Amino acid sequence: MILVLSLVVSDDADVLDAHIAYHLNAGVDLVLAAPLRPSEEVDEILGAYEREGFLRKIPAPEGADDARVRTSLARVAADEVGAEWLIDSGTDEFWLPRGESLKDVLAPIPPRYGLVQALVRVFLPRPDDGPAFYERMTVRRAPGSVDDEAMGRLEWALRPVYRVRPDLVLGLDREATLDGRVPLRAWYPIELLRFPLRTAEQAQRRAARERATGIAVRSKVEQALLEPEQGGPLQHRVGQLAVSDTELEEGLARGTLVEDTRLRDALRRIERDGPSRGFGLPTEGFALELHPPTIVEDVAYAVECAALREVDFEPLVARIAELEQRIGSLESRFWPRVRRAVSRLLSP
Amino acid sequence: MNIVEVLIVRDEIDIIDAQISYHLRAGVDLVIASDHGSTDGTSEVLESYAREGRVLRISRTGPKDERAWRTEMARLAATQMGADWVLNADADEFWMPRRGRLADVLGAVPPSIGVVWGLTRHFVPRPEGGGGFAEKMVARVSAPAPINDPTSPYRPHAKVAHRADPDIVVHYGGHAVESALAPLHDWYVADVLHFPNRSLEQYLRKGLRQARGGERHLGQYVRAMQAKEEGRAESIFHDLLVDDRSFELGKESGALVMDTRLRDALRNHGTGTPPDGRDAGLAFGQVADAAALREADIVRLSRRIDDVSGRVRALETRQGRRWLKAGVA
Repeated sequence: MILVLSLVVSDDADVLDAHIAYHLNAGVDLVLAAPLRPSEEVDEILGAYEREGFLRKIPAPEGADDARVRTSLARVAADEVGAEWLIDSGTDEFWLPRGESLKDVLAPIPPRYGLVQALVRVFLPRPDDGPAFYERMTVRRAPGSVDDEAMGRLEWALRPVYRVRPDLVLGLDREATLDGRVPLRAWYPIELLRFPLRTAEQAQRRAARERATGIAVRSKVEQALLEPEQGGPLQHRVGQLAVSDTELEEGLARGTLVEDTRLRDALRRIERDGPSRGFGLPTEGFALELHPPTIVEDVAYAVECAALREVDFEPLVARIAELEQRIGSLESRFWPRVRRAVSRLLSP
Repeated sequence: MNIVEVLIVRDEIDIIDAQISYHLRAGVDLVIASDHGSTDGTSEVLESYAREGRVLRISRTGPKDERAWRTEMARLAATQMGADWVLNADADEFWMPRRGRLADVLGAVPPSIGVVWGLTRHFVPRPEGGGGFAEKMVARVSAPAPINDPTSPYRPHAKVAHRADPDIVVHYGGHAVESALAPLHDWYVADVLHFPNRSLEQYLRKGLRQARGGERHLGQYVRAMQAKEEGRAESIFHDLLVDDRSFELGKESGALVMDTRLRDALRNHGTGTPPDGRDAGLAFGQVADAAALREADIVRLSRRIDDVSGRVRALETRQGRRWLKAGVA
């Protein structure tokens, strides 16, 4: 099984090395990266992995929008790499399998499913006092709380991982993505750990970039920072959004915040001192040491999955009605053709 | 009342004797067993019961055809064995009536109803120790929401029992039937105590057999096969085991409960006491598990709708292409 991760990269040097190394350790075979206006530092990181054969740089088609660039990467994964599964990732997203590796959880997915989904966990900004983002950002809102970052928004709470087909189109909205493929609904074998706002500088860069290309908000904390109607200078807002130590203590005590150190712990296991890369790879004897959840953890996770209500009775009724309409439309096209064919046969 | 249990077995020596003797004591009159080429002594156990007239062993060869075999056995029970009720089971499942014996609960089903279900309750494997599987495996999953993971052995489901019907069709797994008999949903005549993974050796044997030669390559079997091929079988099975610490954590959170009903029934074997599934402490768990099963069934329905939707889309695309072609021509 070949697993490919595709990335559109711009000015994400603070997270890029950790991102690529983590995924290569988690079971990704090859990273396909489309650099868009990369900084020198980004170029260096990509080059280091490219030289070792773990990454291919694919130039973005001239004047293409984000969706077209991502789709072009998916086509390379299908046509040139022969990938079976594709993770279409952002640089601030870490795909954590509920198993020993990403391949370990994807391989046993029955073939009927063309798409699985990851359950999104948004990590909140913390004061930027020097250490790398994964050392600081170990806090997220408790699932199911009213402040849950993705509460009530399936397009925020779930992200697809694709079984590769040559006609894969990315960048569609959620409904279009799911239609035509059979998605594995109501169970999410991967958790997606997102770190959208890491430092004031990075948040400012992102805000500027997204104002130019269209805001891609996928959580309440990004909404609070990036949407134009929010008041005050951006740098000030980043400071306000960061969870202070006092807020953290109170949030943990009240049960509205949870500490989640899984990415930090995984990255600590593969950290190394190196001239080009700050993290080791499996070929060098490094390992993330991920473990499958216990049945006790699975039961708790099942409650979280159910709380999303991706599958509910009422929407099912609506989907059946929609299917009936589509079948009716097919039938109305089919029978006139049959009638015409019969009349042709019977005519002298 | 004549109750017939139907089974498909292959190399189940660690459990088959307990399974059959338990059901005969619980009120089953006859077991019809399709023996699919067992070589580990299972056939001899079946034959020993056959000599006493309590088991009808049907030797099967070739690829497994579960739907056809289950259907054939269920029809045989109706046409030649004088069955009133037929229970569908696997070698690792034990129908535990909620009250009294199986004949009591099935006898209480109104005559207008012909199809009922037993609610499957999954038991988790425990670290190796003395005694048989039922002595060790007293930790049961109790999930307030369904585990809809297609690779998990702990997905909620139910097993079907039906009145004798010479025209019945029994589906794969014995979870559903096609019949003119009226079904009774949302009330369960029994718990079906399920012991899917009992030892490393049995886990691997079953996983490899089902993944390579089974009719449906269910995720949990594919996972076992992968583990074997990658030399990680022991560590993967170890991850499934619930040790004492996890059991305590599970009990605290409500994810696991202590359930000794099968262990006690098998211990009482020599005393003449019939199995008794009553346990007031487990009553709430039954309601919660039944609710989780209902939710899981809605998810299954949704997945079927996704399948149909995909097929309709393929038809639409094909027709669209034909139109385009006709237009160009």
